This record gives sequence, structure tokens and C-alpha cells, in this order.
Amino acid sequence: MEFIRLKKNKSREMSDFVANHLLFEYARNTLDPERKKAVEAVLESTPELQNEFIKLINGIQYCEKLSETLINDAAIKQIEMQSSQVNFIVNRLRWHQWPLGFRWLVEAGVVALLLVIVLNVLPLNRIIHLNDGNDSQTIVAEVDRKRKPILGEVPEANVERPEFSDEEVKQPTTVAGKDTIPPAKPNSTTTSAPSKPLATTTPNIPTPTTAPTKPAASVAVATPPAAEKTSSKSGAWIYRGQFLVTNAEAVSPKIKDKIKDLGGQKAGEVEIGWLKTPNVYYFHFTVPEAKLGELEALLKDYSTGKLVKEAHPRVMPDGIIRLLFTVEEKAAEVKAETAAPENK
Amino acid sequence: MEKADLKLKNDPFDVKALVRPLSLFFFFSLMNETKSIHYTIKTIEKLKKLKPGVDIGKMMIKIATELYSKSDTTEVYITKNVGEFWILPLDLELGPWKEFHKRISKKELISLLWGLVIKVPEDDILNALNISQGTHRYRISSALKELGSNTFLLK
Repeated sequence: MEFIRLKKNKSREMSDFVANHLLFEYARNTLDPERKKAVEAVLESTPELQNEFIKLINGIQYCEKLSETLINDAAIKQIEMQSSQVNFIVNRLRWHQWPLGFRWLVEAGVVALLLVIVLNVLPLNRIIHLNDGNDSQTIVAEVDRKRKPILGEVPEANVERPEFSDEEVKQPTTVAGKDTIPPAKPNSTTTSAPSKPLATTTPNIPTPTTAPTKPAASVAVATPPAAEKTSSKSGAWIYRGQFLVTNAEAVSPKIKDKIKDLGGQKAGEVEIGWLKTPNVYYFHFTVPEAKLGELEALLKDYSTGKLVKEAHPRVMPDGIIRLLFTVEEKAAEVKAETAAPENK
Repeated sequence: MEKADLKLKNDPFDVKALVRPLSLFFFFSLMNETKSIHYTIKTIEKLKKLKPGVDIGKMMIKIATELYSKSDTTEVYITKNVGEFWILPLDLELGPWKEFHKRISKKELISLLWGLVIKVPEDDILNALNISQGTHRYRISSALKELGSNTFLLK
């Protein structure tokens, strides 16, 4: 087998660019002889490349010097022992070598910073008011969710809660009927003077049958003005009265309607004009103070009664007054009074 | 290229063999004594968490290079305490290195340090940095010329 001998071309000269990039290999003596000769030829003819080569040799020698750097055995041990960065930082800070005053200053600053953080993060207001939270709260309304609605009862949300307690009313939910038992005590207020004995001073009163259409004026029974007491609080008043009318059954709804027209609202548990006992109608309501004059004029149309202002511990809002009076059948009163001496 | 005398063993973990290359790499790359020790410890801690059987030499280069690449090197050099941890050659001046440090790119510096200063095997460097041999040598050549322009050893 014969090999075909190829004719070798004339070798080309190496460019400066290629020679420059082969300088590192030339310096490390890792080039093949042919390329080595080519680089040397370029180096001889190019001064710029010679400078580059000198720089390269300088760099290599400098790196050789750097590589001779040693590390203390103590440093190696220290690095081995330092497991956490925190210890390392603390040690490097050399805390104990700091001036005493400066150390105190740093400590105070750290404590102040921690305090600020704690005070900002912790809900101190909640912690402070944790115990007295139940005492200071104001209950506006309470809903008993567990209570089951009774058949026929008005839903809880629609029931108006009485703002005031009615005097002499023990069963507010029951509808007033003719068989309602009258309470034994008519008025529990100690400041009001007894009014019924004054009614006995007018024995001659026409019967309701004589004038059924128009209610006649009757004798008003009212407490004397001397019974008024001054209250220390402004607005702590109640207006009381007792009115004797003829045909109370017809007059009472008219008074009730007029009160509602004036903006009156029931104050207690029962409706305005509730039939307390036969022929006795109970009025307990609140009304704007400006309407008091109209109300008194209305009552004067049906009777000659008078409202008496009394002190009361319950303070009313500004501009609102509370009234509590009864409208009674005059004939019944007379009958009761006349029947009493006969029994005696 | 001379191979460094590194006997990196993973099982059991040989910390001593790692301290010198790592501390030298971080010291000459960061030029900050405190930070170099900090990063050395950090790298060792990371290497300790590796599974047994992993090539520690390659991982050391990789982790240290990543830490250096992410680090901020704009701080003022603190070399007053050199000599406490490092024993520098007597005729070595750090001035040219500081100048070189300001001009050179991080990639060229990394190749130069691992290849010519610490003298880690070239294959480990290429694998760890994921670069070709030509790239690695070109970076070293470029860095050496830049470094050589600052030195006056042969003048």
C-alpha cells in the first residue's frame, strides 16, 4: 500500500492578533513547536506584542507571589470553631475593648429600641382594659337568640321595648279587657298629694244619660302646686294628673288620637289610653315640650283638670316631657262615692 | 498548569483542606479581612450541608463564586490587620493588586484566582463555572495583562 504524499504549502506568517491570543499558551510553554516558532517570529518583529508579553509575564510572577500567601494555624482553628456567624460577629466587634461610656450608650440605645418595638407591637390598650371591659360597656339592646318564638307572639324585632315602666301595671303583655283587675294602689309616687278625696267635694254631677253626645266638663282633680319639688337635674320632671270626664269611653279615644297627632309616643309598656279598670283610662306617654300648651287646652275641653309638674329621678332628653294621667268616668266616681257611705 | 495540593474529602468532612483556598479566594477577591472570614465560614457551612459523595472541590468553587458574585465589593478596603490571619510574602506589595482590583471584571478575577493563585485543577474550575477551556484561558490571559501593567517586577 502506497501513501500519497501531499505537497506541503508554503507556511503562512502568523498575524499579530492570533499571536497576541497565543501569548498565554506560549508563556506556559504548552504550544506545539510549529506554533511556538511562529509566535516567536511575530514577537521579534512586533514591539507592541513584546510589551504585552512582558505584562503577561509580570502578571504570572505576581500571581506566583500571591499564591505563596499562607494562613495562620490559629486562624484556621478559629474558622473551624466558629460555627455560627453571630459568635463570629461578636468576637470581631471586640466588645470588651470598647470604652465603657460608649458601651453604656449602646446598651441604653438597644434597650430603648426594644422598648419602642414592644410598645408598638403589643396591644396594650386591650391588655389595660381587659378587666374593666365588662363594667364600662353600655348595653343598648339585648337579643336572646336561644328563646323560641311563641305561636301568635309578635317577632322579637318588631316589639317595642318600653322605655319607662308603667306604674301600677304588672302584666303589660295582656290586652286590657273589661275584666281587668284594678291594682290596689292607684299612685305610688310619694310626692303627689292624694287626689281622690278632692273629688268628693263635688257631689252634684249630672248623669251621663242626660248629655251623651257632648262630654261635659267635670271637676278636675289635681295635686296642689305645693307638692312640686325642685330637682337638681334639669329635665328630671314628670307631669301628673287625674281627669274626670263624662262618657270616658268616648272621650278617651279622642284624647288618644290628639296626643298621637301632637307627636306623643307611649312611654311605658301599655298603649296610650289603656283601659286600666272599667271607666278608668291610663295615659302614659312622652310628647315634645312645645306641645304641652295644646295638650292642656285639649284636656280643658273635656275637663277642668290640671297637670302638675313633679320632680322625678328619670332625666328626660331636652325638649321632651313625660306625662302620666288617668281619665276616669265621672259618673262612676260619683257612684263609688255615693255607694261608700251607704255601705258604711 | 500546576495542580494545587488539595485533598478534598467529603466523608469525613475535611474543613482544614477548605479553609486555605476559600479564605485566599475571598481575601484577594473582596480585599476585606472580616468579610473574607465571614464568607469562608458561610461557604464551609453550606458545604457541610451537602450530601455525602458530592464532589467537594467542584462545589467549593461553585458556592464561593456565587457568594462573591452576589457580594458588594464597593466597600473601603480594610487591610490594616493583614498579618493577623494571613502571612503575605515579604516582597509582595498589595498596591498593584488593589489597582488591578478596581479595573478588572469579576469573571476574569474569578478565573485568575482559581487558576493561577489558588491553583485548583482546571477541570474542576471548568465544571464549577460551567465555561469552556478557551473562555477560561482567555479570561486569565486578559486578567494577567491587566495585572502586569500594574506591576514593575521586570522593569
